[in-house]
This record gives sequence, C-alpha cells and structure tokens, in this order.
Amino acid sequence: MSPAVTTHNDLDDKIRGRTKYVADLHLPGELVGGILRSPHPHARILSIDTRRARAIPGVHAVITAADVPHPPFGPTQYKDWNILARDRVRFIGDEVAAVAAESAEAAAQAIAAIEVVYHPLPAVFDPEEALAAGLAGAAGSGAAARVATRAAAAAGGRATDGSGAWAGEPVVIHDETPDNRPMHIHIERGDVDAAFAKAAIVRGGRYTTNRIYQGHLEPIGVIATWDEAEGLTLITPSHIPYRARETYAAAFGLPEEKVRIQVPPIGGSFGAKYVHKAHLIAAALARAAGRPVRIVFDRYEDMLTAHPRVPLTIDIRIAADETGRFLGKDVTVWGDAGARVYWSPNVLATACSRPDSLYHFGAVRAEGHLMYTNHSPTTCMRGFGNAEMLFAVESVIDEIAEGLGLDPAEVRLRNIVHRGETTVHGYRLDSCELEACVKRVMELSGWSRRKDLPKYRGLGMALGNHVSGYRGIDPRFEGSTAVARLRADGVVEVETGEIDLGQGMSSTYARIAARVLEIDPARVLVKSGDTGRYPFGIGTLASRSTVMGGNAIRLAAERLRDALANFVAEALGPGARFAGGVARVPGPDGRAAPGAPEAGEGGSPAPGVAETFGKVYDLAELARLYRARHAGDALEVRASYTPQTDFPGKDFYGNPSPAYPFAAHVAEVEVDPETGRARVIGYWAVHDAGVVLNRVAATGQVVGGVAQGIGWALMEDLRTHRGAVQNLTLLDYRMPGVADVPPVTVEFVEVPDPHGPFGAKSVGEVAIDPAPAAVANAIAHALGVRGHALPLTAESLWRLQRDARRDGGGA
Amino acid sequence: MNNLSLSINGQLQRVACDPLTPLADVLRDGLRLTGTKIGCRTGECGACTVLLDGEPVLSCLLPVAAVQDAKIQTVEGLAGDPRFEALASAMDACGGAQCGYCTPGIMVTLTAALRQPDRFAPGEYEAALKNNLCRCTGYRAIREAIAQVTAGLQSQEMTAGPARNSTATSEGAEALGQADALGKVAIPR
Amino acid sequence: MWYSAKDLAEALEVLSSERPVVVGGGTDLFVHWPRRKPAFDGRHWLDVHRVSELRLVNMTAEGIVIGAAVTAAQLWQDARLNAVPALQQAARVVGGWQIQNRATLGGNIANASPAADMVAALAALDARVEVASQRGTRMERLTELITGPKRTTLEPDELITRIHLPSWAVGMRQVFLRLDQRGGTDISLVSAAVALRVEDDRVRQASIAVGAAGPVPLRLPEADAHLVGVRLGGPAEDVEGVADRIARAYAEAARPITDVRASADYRRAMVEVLVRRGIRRLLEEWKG
Ligand SMILES: Cc1cc2nc3c(=O)[nH]c(=O)nc-3n(C[C@H](O)[C@H](O)[C@H](O)COP(=O)(O)OP(=O)(O)OC[C@H]3O[C@@H](n4cnc5c(N)ncnc54)[C@H](O)[C@@H]3O)c2cc1C
Ligand code: FES
Ligand code: FES
Repeated sequence: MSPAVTTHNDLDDKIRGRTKYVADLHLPGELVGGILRSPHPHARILSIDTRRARAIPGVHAVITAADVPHPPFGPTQYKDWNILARDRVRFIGDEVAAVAAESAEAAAQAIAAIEVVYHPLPAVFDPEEALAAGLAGAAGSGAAARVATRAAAAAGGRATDGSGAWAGEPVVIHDETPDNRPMHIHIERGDVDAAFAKAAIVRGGRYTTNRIYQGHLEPIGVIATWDEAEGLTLITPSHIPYRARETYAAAFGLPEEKVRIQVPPIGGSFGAKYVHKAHLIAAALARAAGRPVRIVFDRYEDMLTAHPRVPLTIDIRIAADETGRFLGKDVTVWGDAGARVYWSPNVLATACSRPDSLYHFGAVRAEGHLMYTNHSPTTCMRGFGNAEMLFAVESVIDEIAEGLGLDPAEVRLRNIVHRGETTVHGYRLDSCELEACVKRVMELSGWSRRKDLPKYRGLGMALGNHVSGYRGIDPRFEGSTAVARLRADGVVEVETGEIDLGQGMSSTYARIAARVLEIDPARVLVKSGDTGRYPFGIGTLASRSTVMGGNAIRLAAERLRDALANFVAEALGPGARFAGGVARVPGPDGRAAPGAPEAGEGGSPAPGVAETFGKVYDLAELARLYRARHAGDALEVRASYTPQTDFPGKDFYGNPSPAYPFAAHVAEVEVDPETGRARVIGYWAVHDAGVVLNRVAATGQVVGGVAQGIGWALMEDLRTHRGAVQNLTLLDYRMPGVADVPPVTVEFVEVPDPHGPFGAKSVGEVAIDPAPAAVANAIAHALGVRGHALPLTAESLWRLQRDARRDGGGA
Repeated sequence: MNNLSLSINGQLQRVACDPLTPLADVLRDGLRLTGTKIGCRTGECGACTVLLDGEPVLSCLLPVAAVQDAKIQTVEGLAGDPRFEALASAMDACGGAQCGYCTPGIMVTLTAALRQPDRFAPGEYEAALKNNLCRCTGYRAIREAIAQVTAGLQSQEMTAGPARNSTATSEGAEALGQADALGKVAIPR
Repeated sequence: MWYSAKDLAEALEVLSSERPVVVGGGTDLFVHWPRRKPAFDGRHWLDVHRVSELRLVNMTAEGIVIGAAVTAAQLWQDARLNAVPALQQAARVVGGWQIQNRATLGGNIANASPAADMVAALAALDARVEVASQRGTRMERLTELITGPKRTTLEPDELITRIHLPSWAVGMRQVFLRLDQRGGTDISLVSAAVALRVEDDRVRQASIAVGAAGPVPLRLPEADAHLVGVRLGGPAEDVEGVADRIARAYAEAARPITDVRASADYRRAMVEVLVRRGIRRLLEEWKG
C-alpha cells in the first residue's frame, strides 16, 4: 500500500488565518480602482469633465459612459443595466465614472477631481407611489388617479421612508417601463371570494419587511485583468459565477468563453456578491488601463451602495372556518426593486407563492407589484421572499388561533402539508416530515408551558419550507455537472460548478463521493470556483448545492467506481474486484486476499495476472497502473444530474424542485416592558432536511440562519432617507453579537428523500425562513400586542405598548 | 514617511511608512500577514484583532507609531501556543468557522481570554467576544469550542499538569512568556 | 510628526510648541482613518498613553485620583476601584474587550460625546478634572469642562492629566445603567448613574447623572435632594414615590435629540425609566 495522502483542511486554514480572500491577493502591476457615484437619487447628467482627474500623477485611466459599450443587458430577463450611467443617474451611489491609479490616494484624488453637472429630477422612494408616479405621466388616466389616491392614503400609515418625498409629479425611472413596474404577478387558484364569504374568521393586515443588509463580513471586492487574447478574467467571490459570466460577456459583447471568473474563498455573501457593478467597472478599467485593476470596498462604500433584501409591503388576509381550517388566502405584495433589477423578480414571485406549499390555504390569490424606485437596487438574501411572506402569514395564523381560542400549534397542525401530496401550485412532496417536526419542536421547547408563562415572556412558533434547487432560475436547463478523477497519488479529485460559501458544501461533496467509493472523505479533494477550469454550474442559490451538485457528485463518483471496476477487471484479470476503495485479486484458490492489505507492486507496468494473485491494490497503485496503460493520462469521468422538475411558466404551476425541506421553529422571548427591549432567551429548531450527510455543517447552517433571523426581527434595518442610507456603520446597522443569540437547540427528523443524494435535502435557506416570524410571534405573545413592521426594535415595541394602552384607555 | 521598528511575532521588523498608517495595513500590505482581516475599520467587527503585549486590541484603530515599543502578535504568530492549538482543534471539530472571515480575529481574542482566566468569570469566556462579529455561525459552534477547550484544560491540569505543545515556536512562546504563565494559571470552573 | 512622550514635562512641552492632537487610545480618533485622514492633514500628534504620571491610580485621604491615560480595562480590573462600582460598570460596557484595552478615561472625557459612558458615571460622582499646560495646572468640574457635544474648555496646549473623585464617593452604593440595542458593541441611547450614601438605614446623600439625553451630562442636585432622609425598609410607596418624582424631574429636564438610533421622545421616556430603576435598585436590591 502507498502512504495515505490526505487532502488539505480548508477549515484549519481559515482558523489559522491562512485563507486568502480577494483582499489578500495581489497581481503584479495592479492598479487601484475607484468609482465616482451619484449624490442624487435621480438626476440628469448634463456634463462630465475628467480633465483634472486625468492630470493627477499616478492616474492611468479615467472612464465614463462614453468609454464603455451600452448594450441592453442584465442578470435577469429585465435588461436594465449599464456599466456606467449615461445621461441619467437613478439612485444615490449610481456609478458615473471610474478611475484606475497607482495608489488608493491617487484614485481618491482623481475621483474628487471629476466634475459632474447634474440637473436633479423628482424622485420616488415608495413602491406604491412609484406606480402612481409612473401612471401620472400617462396624463388623464383614470387608473393613475385611482392609484395615486390609494398610494397617498397608504403612505400615511406606513413606517417606511418616502412619505412626503414624492410631490405627485410624474417620475419614470426607465423609459421602457413607463409605469415603473417591471413585473406584475397575478396568481389565483380556486374561488377566493367565495372562500372568504363562508369564513368563520378572517384576519389580516398590512405587514412590512425591512431593508436587510446581507452583512457579509468580507466587503465586496474584485481584481480584473483584460487581455486581448485571453479576454477578461475576474477574481471575485461570486457564488453564481457562470450567470455572472454570461451577464458580463453580454455587457462587453464578448463570447462567454472570453470571460473567466475565478472564485477565491468567499467571506460571506448571503446573496450580496454573485453579480455586481463593481465587477464590470473593474473590467472596464482594466481594459482602459491595460493593467490589472483591483476594487475592494471599504465598509462605508459597501453599505452606501448595498443591495439589500427587497423590502416588501404585504397586505394579507387569511380566512378560516370555526375549527381553524384555512379556506382562503389573499395577498397583495409591493416590492421595492430599487433603480435596477438584480434578483428582485424571483424574490417577489417566491413571496407570492412559496408559503402556499407549506399550508393548505384553500383558495389562494396573490398580486405582486415589483416597482422601480430611486433606491439603491435590492436583491436576494437567504430566505428569498419566503421568510418575508412567512412573517406575515405566521403572524396572521397566530391571530386566527387567538380569535378562535385555539392553540396556535394546533391550528398549524390542522393545515400543514404532508408527504405524498401535490400542493396548490403543483409542488410534489415526495418527502415531508413537517408534522413530526412540529410535534418534536413542541416537546423540545416545552410548548405546553406557553399558557403559564410569566408576564412579558412569550413563546412563538413558525414553520418554513423551501426548495432544493429551483427550476425557474434558468429557462434553458437545471441540474449540475461533476467531474471525478483519480489522481496519481490516489486522491480522488472531484470538480463541480457549484460554489462553496462556507456552508460546508465541499466537505459534504467529499462525503458523498467517499461514500460511493467506500473511501475516507479525507482522500477526496473537491475543486470548484473557476469558470475556465471546472464544469458549468448554475451556482449557489435557491438552496441548490446539496441536491443538485450533490447528485452530480454522486453520479460522477458512481461512474468512477464503475470505470475502476472495469479497469481492474481488464488490467488485473476477470476475477479482480474493486470494492471498499481497493482492488483485490483473488488468490490461486479463487478467494480474495485475506486480512491486512499488503503492498503491491503497482509501479511496474502491466503486471501479468499470474503475478498479482492475492494482491490488494489501493487507489494510488491503481492510478499508476491506469496511467501506465493510458499514456500517462489520469482516469477521469464526468456526469450530469438533471432533475425531473417543471419550469414554472406564466401560471407559476408545476413542480419546480426535486426535494423540499421543512422546518418548525419556536422562539422564547422576554420583553422589558418599560424599555421595550426584547431578548430572545430560547430557541428550538427542528428540521426535515432528509438524511443529514454532514451534521456539523447542517447544524451550523441552522444556527447561523436563526441568528440572522433574530437580527432581522429585532435590530437590523438599513434606514434610508430620500434614498440615502442613514446608518452607514456596523455600529448603527446592528447585527447580532454573541450575547444576542441564545443557545439554539437543533434537531433533525431524518427520513430519506427519494431524489436527494443518499436521501439528503437542502438546509441553508429554510434555516432562516421561520425565524423572524417565530420571534415576532413570541413577542406578540409576550406583550399581547403585535408589531406589523420589522424590525421590532426596543423603541417600536415601546410605542406599540404605549399606543395599545392609549387605545385601551380611550375605549 | 518614517522608519519604524516593530516587534511582530517575536521578530524585529523595520518598516518605512507614514506613522499614522493603521497597524492592520502595515501587517497586511507591508508584511503580508494577511491573517489579520479588515471588516469595518470602525472598531466593531474584531476581524483585525491582534495582541499588543498580550492584550487583544483592534489593529484598524492603531496608528503604527503608537505600537513601536510593544510586542505584537498576530494570528500567524500564535500557532504553536498550546491554548491556540487546543482552540484550533476544537473550532475545527465543532465547525466554528464557516466563511472564516471573522475567525482569525476570534481566535486571537479567545486565545488571549484563555490565557487570562481571572478576567472572565467561569463559563463567560464569550463575554470576551463582545467586540467580534460573526455573520455565519450564530456563535453556537464557537461557544462549543470554548467549552471543549476549557473542559480539556481543566482535566489536563487535574491529571497531567499544563499542556505543552512540542511544536510551539520559540517566538510564539517567548514573546509573552506564556509558557510560564500557563504553568501558574489555573482555569477556574 | 508623531511624538511619544514618556513623562508629563515632555508632553507639556510638545503641546506648547507643536499644538498636536493628543492621542490616548485612539479609539475615537482613528475610527475609519482612511476617510478621516484628510481632515488632519499637516497636524502633529502626541501619544500620551505611556506618560507615567497619567497611568497611576491613587487612593488618598481626599478620595481617588485616576490618571487620564488609564484604560477602561484597567479601571474594571483594578480591585481598588471596586470602591466606585458605577465607574467600573461603565468602563466594562464601553465597546468590547479590545476597545476597553485601549480606550482611556481622558479620551472619553476630552472626546465629549454626549453618549460617553464613563463620563456619565464620573459626573454622578462629582469628578473634577485636572488640566495641565506649561502655563500651569487647573482643576475644573467635569460638568463644566464639557460644554457641549464634542466641545470642552480645553485649550490647544492643555492636557487632561488626572481625574479626582471626592472621598464621599468612595464606598457609596452606586449603579450605572445604560440602554442599548444589542449585545455587540453599541452606544448608549440613554445612561444613568446613581450613587447613594446610606447610613443607619437612611439616605444621607444622593447624586445622579444622566448621559446621552442632552448636550452634556444632566445633573439635578435639587431633585437628588428629595432622596435625602428616605428610610430604607420604609413603606414601599414612599420609596416609589420619591423615585418616580426624581425620575420625572430628570425626564423633564432632559434635552435629547432624534437621530438614526432613537427619537427624542423615546430617549426622554427612557431617562425616566433608567433613573427610577437606578434608585430603586439601590434602595431595594443593593447587596453591598
Ligand atoms: C466600536 C466602538 C465602541 C465604542 N463604545 C463606546 C461605549 O460603549 N461607550 C463610550 O463611552 N464610548 C465608546 N466608544 C468611544 C471610545 O472608545 C471612548 O470614548 C474612549 O474612552 C476614547 O478614549 P481614547 O483614549 O481611545 O480616545 P482618543 O481616540 O485617543 O481620543 C479622543 C479625543 O480625546 C482627546 N484626548 C485623549 N486623551 C486626552 C487627554 N489626556 N487630554 C486631552 N485630550 C485628550 C483626543 O485628542 C481626541 O480628541 C466606542 C468606540 C468604538 C470604536
Ligand atoms: S476591521 Fe478593525 S474592528 Fe473591524
Ligand atoms: S464564519 Fe463567516 S463571519 Fe464568522
């Protein structure tokens, strides 16, 4: 046997500070890039003068819209992007010009020396007002007048900024979209009005979700090089690099093959880093300067230009009969896309539909308006619209339970989905342990204590579901591809197009391959993160990595196993077997060599069968044998996994994912009645993630998601005023510290899913889905009044109680 | 531009730079000690934590001129320190790092805390982490790692005396005399 | 030019000749340095954190003298200062451990942020600040040295050298409370320090200060005086009544602002809550 070569431990590198993130990398001759941004939320650019900037020593390139191509492009079907703003800026932070210089100081000086003359235009910041502002342009339209009145009325009762900022004049943010509404969804199944007519109880209201900053600890960064022969290379932590490549190739009119994205370790993204204007600008600068250009944001620029979660304004009603069985659900959702479309359409679509495959609501109707505003563009974050809508849905469910005098857990149990069902939108639930999750989380949390809790303590429950890959991401295809290769040292190298975000993807993949090949996972090396080297992958979003990438890895590993078995038979004789990660050649008596494997002479080429009787060959020896017979080439196989799923068309019907994970969470809070400050003091999460392949990583995903959910519910909000972010530091954008997160108990109900690799489903996003709602429900239980606008800060809870007392006193 | 001499990880380093340059930048750009990360430059995230004469401080807020006569240890320089090593294996086993960007800063802070058990009440080592943010882990795995280490150190002290790691580098150990300190210090329960 | 002074004489000389920016721990000065740097172009710097005279803590017959370069971490770790728990509690809440290892008492004062925590505790303890220059030394009440947000009476050649706490402050029942919004580093929305001398079960002296609820720390000695004579173990309503009255007086006198962290009305209401809580905690729950 050869000495066991084990693969490198990435986690140990991170712990010791050896991991190199993009900010830690440097290319010879690189320049520092800087971006000049609009100070106006909406303005016409009258002129740009770059002469003074060009004269600054050390400046190698100064570019404006005049220096870059302007094809229609963008990361989704809405092609509203540019590389640099031409004629008009649409939000504070919109990119107007850029420089590349020898030093950060020179770049900053050059940015300051660019003179831009703007003519400010009226701006709109509220999604409902944006529709009215667009329609106001279509003079005399009756619809405009109606919407304008409704918007004005609604603006009065809203916590979000925008009130008073829009004076009623026409504002059109993109001329191609005169109503400022790039997407308008209507989904309706069943007779909703009839359902509400026969209801014993209807509850609902307006819920608003906040502008959540992804809060990646590593700021946005990129290094670009441009070479006429090789094309554009970007070193940047994108977790959807192939999609980014396609977008950037379109922007520069290049074939995709001439754009290469190399992905260094990612210091957190949660949705923020997959595609970014800074990448395009670095590329344009690299081309203009003829040298590599690096742009690494500081926290200030990262927050000023952040593309947060899409804030939603949700009008919701749910109808139920007297036993608590739901009859109908009706929602209208306004999403603030900001001034360009990043990933907001899918977020809105998810909000409009996903919870309908968690509960049986009966008849459902959803209307979604995705609105351009003069805010910085918004995009996806873990939870992706579903967590937002679940905040509203789960709040209303608790109100129904209260209205009927029922236990909120009981109401949930009466309405949840089960295995074997096809949901109202066509999701096929081939595995679903939701009921077991609810029952287990009740036990773990001591749910029966709920009615006896002291004053100002509360227990809240919320459920969640998600997908494991989503067919709607790309109309052309879904699935994943992996390559498996037997390296000369016996290590199995697997390549994937999916990207590790720190969620443990690589170690899960290593386990999958190791399980197929019956070897130690430490002898599998997972490689990913270079569009120029590794197979195509759709990327890490929609909780794809475990099921899509994992199945591809499993298939590739199986193919490698089969190829090894064939090769063993061919090279070592028909009696030789490949099993348990080694090849065994039967002894003269026909039996495989017993006991401890002994060293074979794998180094000698093509040994005769007779000489190998009773021998055991490990992978390193097999690799040498294989190469000896194949001109030095390594044994390599490739496999693609394509799930049997449906593309959700215009009607949003179909089965979009091979496997659906579920979760039931309970939060316990204590609210200081005088200050309003709420603390989460207990948290229990029970998940159906199918078979858990990597317990440490899966648990870490759940706890991390819960912590983010706690921050979301209690303290986080990018506050804007007329399009300008007000809290531009991590001091005033409060993410939870260690003392804000209670001990979180995590359990899994493990039943294999028929489609997941070894029965596994996803866990990354479903981890956060119920969390804000669970916390909000616990607070409502503690206080007896309910907050409808996230975050539920100390001050907002103080106001809520004060207003409740006032109203109570007045009645 | 000034010529400054600094003691970093037990070695004397000469650097020529503006005396106001944050230590974090001197370490990262000048000396390529990129284990010290920059997450905010405003003192909140703790990713830039280093030890200054054994005490954790934020290197983004420290002009390099202010640390000329001090002993600086970065995460790279802690390798070999028995407490660092014990914490490193516990963090690995517990999954204490996800994206890993916060991790070196947390390792530096916790190593200092474990060396000064009299400062933090038993079971409250996490109080040392108020100045460190982690967006990925929700802190549970980090808490587990601390618990593992403190339990391990306790049982070692009860049975075999203080742990000494044979791979301890001379700089790592000598800079703070922590091999000595470790002999004396008892971790409270 | 960066000057690192070893003793007071050297520091005062540099101050007099170069008018440098004084650096304590730098935790206020160097926040977001690359963006702040241009504002300090051409300035000289005087690092005082090694000035031996500024690093001492002395217990004297007149009270306690604390050097201006003593750090927050030293304050909460120095067993002698257990005699002034309000100051120790405030020191332990400033930033986190890393910040506390650098943040100096002098910097907290000179920075004159309305939200400064150690300042609020010092104000309740009637601290006096010793200020030195080559021209001489002066003593000023802390609440007079700080004249507004980021404003003090310090002249460009002056240095805060020591902070003096009166002997009566030693051993008083004291508490420092702050309202913040998370368990990570945060800034006070409102803070309150309350100190009471209790002898023979009666309050003999009371001193309260409120932070972050106006341009300077708020003190209302007339209101505090209502506590004098209150009997411990007396009828709960009496204690509550006095606490309520004083708390309301502080809330009414507060001049809080509305900013991205909180609104003025919330801050004002919280002044009342914190002052009331502080008083009641000392009267009802204090364990010496
Ligand atoms: C993340 C973070 C969290 C924080 N949290 C808190 C908190 O919770 N509570 C709180 O109160 N503060 C907090 N602060 C602010 C800061 O840490 C404190 O104000 C600290 O006490 C400042 O001391 P320093 O020595 O670091 O000041 P420096 O930054 O060194 O100086 C501050 C100012 O004081 C002047 N100065 C310093 N020493 C003297 C002297 N001896 N004589 C005259 N002038 C002098 C300087 O010239 C400068 O103008 C926080 C800061 C950060 C970055
Ligand atoms: S970079 Fe220094 S604390 Fe964040
Ligand atoms: S592991 Fe990502 S921030 Fe801590």
